[in-house]
Amino acid sequence: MQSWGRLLNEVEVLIRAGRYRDALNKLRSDPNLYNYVVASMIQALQSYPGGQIADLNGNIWSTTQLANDLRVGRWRPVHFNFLLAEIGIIRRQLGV
Amino acid sequence: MLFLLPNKKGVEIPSTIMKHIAPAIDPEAVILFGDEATPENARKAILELNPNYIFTTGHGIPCATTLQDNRPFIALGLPEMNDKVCANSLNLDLVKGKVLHIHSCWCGRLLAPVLVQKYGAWAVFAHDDEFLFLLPEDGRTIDIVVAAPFLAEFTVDQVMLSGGTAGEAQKARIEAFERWIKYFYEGEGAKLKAAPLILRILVADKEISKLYGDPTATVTRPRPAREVRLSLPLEVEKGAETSPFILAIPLIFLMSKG
Repeated sequence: MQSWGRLLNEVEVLIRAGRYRDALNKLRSDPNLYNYVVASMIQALQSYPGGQIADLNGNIWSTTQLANDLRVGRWRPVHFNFLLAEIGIIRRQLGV
Repeated sequence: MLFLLPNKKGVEIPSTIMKHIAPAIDPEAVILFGDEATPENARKAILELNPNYIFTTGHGIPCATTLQDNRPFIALGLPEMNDKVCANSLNLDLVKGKVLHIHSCWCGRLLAPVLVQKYGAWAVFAHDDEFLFLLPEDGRTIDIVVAAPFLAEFTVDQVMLSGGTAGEAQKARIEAFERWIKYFYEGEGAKLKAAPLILRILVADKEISKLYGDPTATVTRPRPAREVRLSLPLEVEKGAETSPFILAIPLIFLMSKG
């Protein structure tokens, strides 16, 4: 779990620097952690089935589509907002 | 104090919520809602009333924030960044000495710090990324999972208009996000089916909600905080979009005249 904690810290730094591709590569360097994170994000998106997420610019995303994109490894910029949030949630869950 | 609340193109939910709670936050609030929330009316109101606190919501990019119909309200003249919204500098002369709450995406990246450093705004609350929220399942009814991010965010206005400092408002804002996160993580809200998703949205929104400028800024004398309650569910007050058919009428008329 300590190694997950370190890796999550590094992923977070890369996301905050806008280096999304590097963040994703870093996350994928531990397949167990990557699968855990993606499964958790998909599960969260499925908690609002058929629902929609929006931002204040009028952009709208379907929760189903965002979950499907994650399943096939198609990451959109908005996924990284959720990835940052996911890191916070995982820290709470695992105490890392 | 002045509240600018456009209600089209994605900002009808925050504007509807703020329209309902602003009178409780500040009984003397001047509210420009919907089609009243134009850049021209906003400028006129600021020049006439000289409010020291302005809440505005709308679309946002790093160089500008907009009002009704996505028309630019405050903009840095940076056409290389966006040749429509940031084609010219707009209303930068209005912010000196004022505290602003710019509830728009991305403005924390550039507009907010520049308003403070170059144009003399005393303090600016803004977001440095996209502010996310859930849309109502039926498209029109605001319930607790839809309202939560806004109720956390609008703590800023409650603290500022009770005489708190900007630093206190920012602290209260983050604490409010934390309380809502706890509510959906392990409190009563955890029983709601959308809890896992709204929880993550709240974490994301908390991360991007920042204060720029002087944390000692205040806009009114300290007074007991008023109780602010929002009765839910609440119907979204969405402005009518101009129908493409209506826009086409003059064209059809001209064509029929040959």
